[in-house]
Amino acid sequence: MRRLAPQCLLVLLVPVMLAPTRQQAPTTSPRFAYLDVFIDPRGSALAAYQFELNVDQNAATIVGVEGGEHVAFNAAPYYDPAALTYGRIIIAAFNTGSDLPTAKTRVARLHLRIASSAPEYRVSLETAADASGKKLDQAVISFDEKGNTP
Amino acid sequence: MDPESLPSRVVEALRASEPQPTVPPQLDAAILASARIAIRRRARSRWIIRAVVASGAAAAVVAIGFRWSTHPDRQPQVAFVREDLNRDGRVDILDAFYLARKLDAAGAPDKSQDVNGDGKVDRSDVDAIAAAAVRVSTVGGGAS
Repeated sequence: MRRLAPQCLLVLLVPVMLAPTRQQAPTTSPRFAYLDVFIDPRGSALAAYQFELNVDQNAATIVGVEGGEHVAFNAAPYYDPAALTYGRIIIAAFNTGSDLPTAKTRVARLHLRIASSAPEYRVSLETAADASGKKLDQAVISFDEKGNTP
Repeated sequence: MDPESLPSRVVEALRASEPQPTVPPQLDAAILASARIAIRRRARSRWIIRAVVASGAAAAVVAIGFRWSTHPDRQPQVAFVREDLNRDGRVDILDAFYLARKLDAAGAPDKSQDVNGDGKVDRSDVDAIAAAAVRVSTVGGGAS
């Protein structure tokens, strides 16, 4: 009887080991990308901006935020760190100096972990202002997803 | 004696014997002119009184209407949050920018702009306003 015990155990375990694994999530290997956000103040000096980005939380996760290309906005902007766990983030920055961009400029770069093939982003410019604090109603926002590092 | 008891002939004779008063025409004209002036003055003062009363009533109506329209119950309740420094009804980066510019200009800061309540108005208040502007971790997202 003692000799049969390992064999019985083996007989019981083999089917379990050979059985196909249970339903696994569709395997879309996540990739990392970044989203560049641009603001074009159309000739006015851009001194402050605030925009909101929404993305389906299942499609992409925001993993980091960095500043823009112009010296006025290359420091990390203001954002809520808790937003990294949401599909919604508000990003804002200002500069009280005189060296300000007057043409289209990248104001922020968002690093993303993307789970789906083509996440849908919604970016809206909430406000933009010149050095005197006057709102720039003509300013436009755009974005561009780049990078693919699986 | 009662004149009614006298014969009418006697009464007429007595009346005829009384001297008739004579008023010089100049005096008559002067009395008439002064009477006219007095009547005109009275009419003018009456108009002035009417105008004053009407103006007072109109002013009272306007004052009551103004009080009614500006009564707190009639005003839309706009509750500005502390961070909304530019009083545009929402907290955004422009409020932080407003305070930062004010601090850079070395303007005398207003104590009401001590957003973080540390007893002074400085860059930390700017950061506190900016943090409130981008907050999404509360229900409803950023302060507004």
